[in-house]
Amino acid sequence: MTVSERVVEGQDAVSDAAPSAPVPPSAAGRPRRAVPALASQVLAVAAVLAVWSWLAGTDQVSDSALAGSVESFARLAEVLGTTESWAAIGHTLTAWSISLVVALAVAVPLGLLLGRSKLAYRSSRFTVDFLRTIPALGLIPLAALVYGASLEALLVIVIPACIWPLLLQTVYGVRDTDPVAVETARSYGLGRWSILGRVVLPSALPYIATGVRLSAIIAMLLAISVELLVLVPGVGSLIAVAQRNGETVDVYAYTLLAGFLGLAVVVLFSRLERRVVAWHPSVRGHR
Amino acid sequence: MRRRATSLAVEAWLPVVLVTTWWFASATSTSIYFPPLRTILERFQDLWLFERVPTDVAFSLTNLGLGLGSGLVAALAAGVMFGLMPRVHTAMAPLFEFMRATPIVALLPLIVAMLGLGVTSKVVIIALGAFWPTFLNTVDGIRAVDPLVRDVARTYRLTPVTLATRVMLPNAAPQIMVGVRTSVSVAVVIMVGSELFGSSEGIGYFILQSQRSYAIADMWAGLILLGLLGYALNLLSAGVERLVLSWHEGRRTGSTTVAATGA
Amino acid sequence: MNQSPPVSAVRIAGLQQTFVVDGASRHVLDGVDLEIRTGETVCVVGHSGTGKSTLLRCVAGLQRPSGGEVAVAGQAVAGPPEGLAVVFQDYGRSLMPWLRIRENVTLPLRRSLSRRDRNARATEALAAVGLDGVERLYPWQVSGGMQQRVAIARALAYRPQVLLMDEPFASVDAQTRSDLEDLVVRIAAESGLTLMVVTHDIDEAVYLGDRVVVLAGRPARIAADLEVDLPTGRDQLTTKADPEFLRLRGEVMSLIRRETASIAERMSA
Repeated sequence: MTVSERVVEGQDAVSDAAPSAPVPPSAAGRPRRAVPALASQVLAVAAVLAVWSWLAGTDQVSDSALAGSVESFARLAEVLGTTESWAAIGHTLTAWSISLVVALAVAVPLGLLLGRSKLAYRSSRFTVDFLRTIPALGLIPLAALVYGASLEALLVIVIPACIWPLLLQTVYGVRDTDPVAVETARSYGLGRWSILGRVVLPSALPYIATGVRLSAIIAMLLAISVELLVLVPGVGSLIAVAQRNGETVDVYAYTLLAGFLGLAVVVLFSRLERRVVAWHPSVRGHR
Repeated sequence: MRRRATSLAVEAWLPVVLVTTWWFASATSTSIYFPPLRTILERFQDLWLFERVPTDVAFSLTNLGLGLGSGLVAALAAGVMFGLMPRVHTAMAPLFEFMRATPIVALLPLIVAMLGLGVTSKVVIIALGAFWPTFLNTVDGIRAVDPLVRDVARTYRLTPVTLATRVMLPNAAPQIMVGVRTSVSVAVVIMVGSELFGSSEGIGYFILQSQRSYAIADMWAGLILLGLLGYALNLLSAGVERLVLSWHEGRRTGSTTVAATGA
Repeated sequence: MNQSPPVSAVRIAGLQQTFVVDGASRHVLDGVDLEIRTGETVCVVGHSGTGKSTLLRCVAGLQRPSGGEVAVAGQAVAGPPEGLAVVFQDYGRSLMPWLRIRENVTLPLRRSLSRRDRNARATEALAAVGLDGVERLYPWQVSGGMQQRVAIARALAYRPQVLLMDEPFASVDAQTRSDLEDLVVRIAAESGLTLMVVTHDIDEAVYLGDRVVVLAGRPARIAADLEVDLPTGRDQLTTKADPEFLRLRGEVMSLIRRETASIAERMSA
């Protein structure tokens, strides 16, 4: 998932007077306001919910397929009061965090190695490219066969998928290190490990931060998907079970829950990334 | 020549070692989960060259092609539209964020409930998965178009079609291609997911069915096919990217300055 | 002299422009009046930051003025008007790097012409600016001066009645610059185009213009509007040594200096 939060205000005139927005002289000093962003966003969300609710109300789609927006959100609030759903959220978050931590522990050192050594990089290029393009969900039957509907089965699928973006970002970051900085460090007599820790790693940090964000999102999306398909306990399996029992409203409520979990990861890790990138003025993240 | 041979050796030794190790380590394997690679490859040949190609492979690839195609076209069109309407985009941004963050596979139950287990639901969910990465990158790319380029387009009163196809899309192309490549890999994953969730055809279904009937070598053969498919698609999208961005690459490296003599 | 009232290609009346930058308003143009007759070349000269480009953008319809009126060929400007082309300073950004030179030139013609006619016009326009055999190259494969020629060819192929140029030669080296100035003089004489050139270079303004308009002050107004009484067949060496050229150049320079001094005075007061 590629994420980028650049805000570019279109249409600003570039002229020698460096203006932002032309206004009539009478209104000078009192800038004309567009509809405030927040209000328009609230409006858009409300409109979508209204359309959803109207669609559910008409007979266009059968009731067993489409639950109303009000009902779905009400049920979401309801299930958030049950220990069952909190246990599921706990399971999902556990699987997610284990995946991310293991991926970090594997991918960053490996990325440093592949980034610093041309031989290692070229030797592994084909293997990495082949392995990372295997569709992760294709491993489900194998993982389920060996481990059953368990956390292990989930981790076997999710961890490799999280490793690849982090690994590639780390390699890019390391390869992008200013060679002059490395030479300078070497001329001051810093050893191999000091250079790695004090020059290369800090300089690759923004790239790694982007990799962490990508991996965090992939981990959440895949964890929920595997739970749903293999019935590993978690938010995903709640959706699958609700569907098997024909409880349409529950399916919608839990799907919303899954969406909000994903959204939380996106928002949280985008902030984290921006922090790291902002704190690090010399390099911009590789998107 | 020698340099090329050396370079090939450097790139190839690891895969060769890995496959050889697998071959010999599994040669006498009696584990039900890990049959000998030899057996797997024999099954691979029986199954995919080319007995099941017209059924499972064709089914998967048709869904993938239709889903990816429609998803990408919709993403480009919508991306240009929203890219040119920054205010509307700002208003919709939270909804887009939510959709992007929702696991698309989690929508399978809803989509199956609406559209049934047939081909339509699979194509729709693949398209939905392929849509978001390309859409969001297109919007970003269009919004980042140089204001001067916009001015040129406005003074020469370009038609909307010319504006979109000759100015906006090419300008945003480097970023769009990042999205397209993500879309391609997401689409393959979702294709497999859709075949694991109630299907009676397709490569994913075949792998699952082999596992259920304990035809483990068949399952492995299916997995190898998926790996090859993923790799081939990645090569394909990399090739498309190079083609689309040839001007970009040339300008970046500046290797082709031909007529740099005085004006 | 013509008996019928002169048709003005560009008419600017009481133009006001105010911008809001970071909440503070900035009055850039204060009551600019300017009339450009058909076929005339008018150079607008002034310090950088006086609002020359703003003025040009208002004429081009790229920017809506805060007050006053702009008309091109008798039509009030509400958006980019028909029959008007602009050559921008930054050729590197105004040409599309993904289009070959010929496609760059034909880009504005896609609305009205068939492919054959478009290509014929491109060849003609490129020849007119002294470029042959570069149609199939990309803009970034040729020098800066050649890129600006391509931008001029694009404008010519569009066959505008009015051509605006915004600091067209500010980003090229001196030799290329005088070559391009001569090109513009030749084009203006041959085509009968109405030309408005914005520049901060006083020599260039006097050399190119039938009239030189000095924009000065904060907010800027027209400080002087001078007829250039030099022979039409201009030449880098003889024209620039002509006593009339030197006189005009001196007059414009002192006008701009005076304005700058009075602004500095007001600022320090």
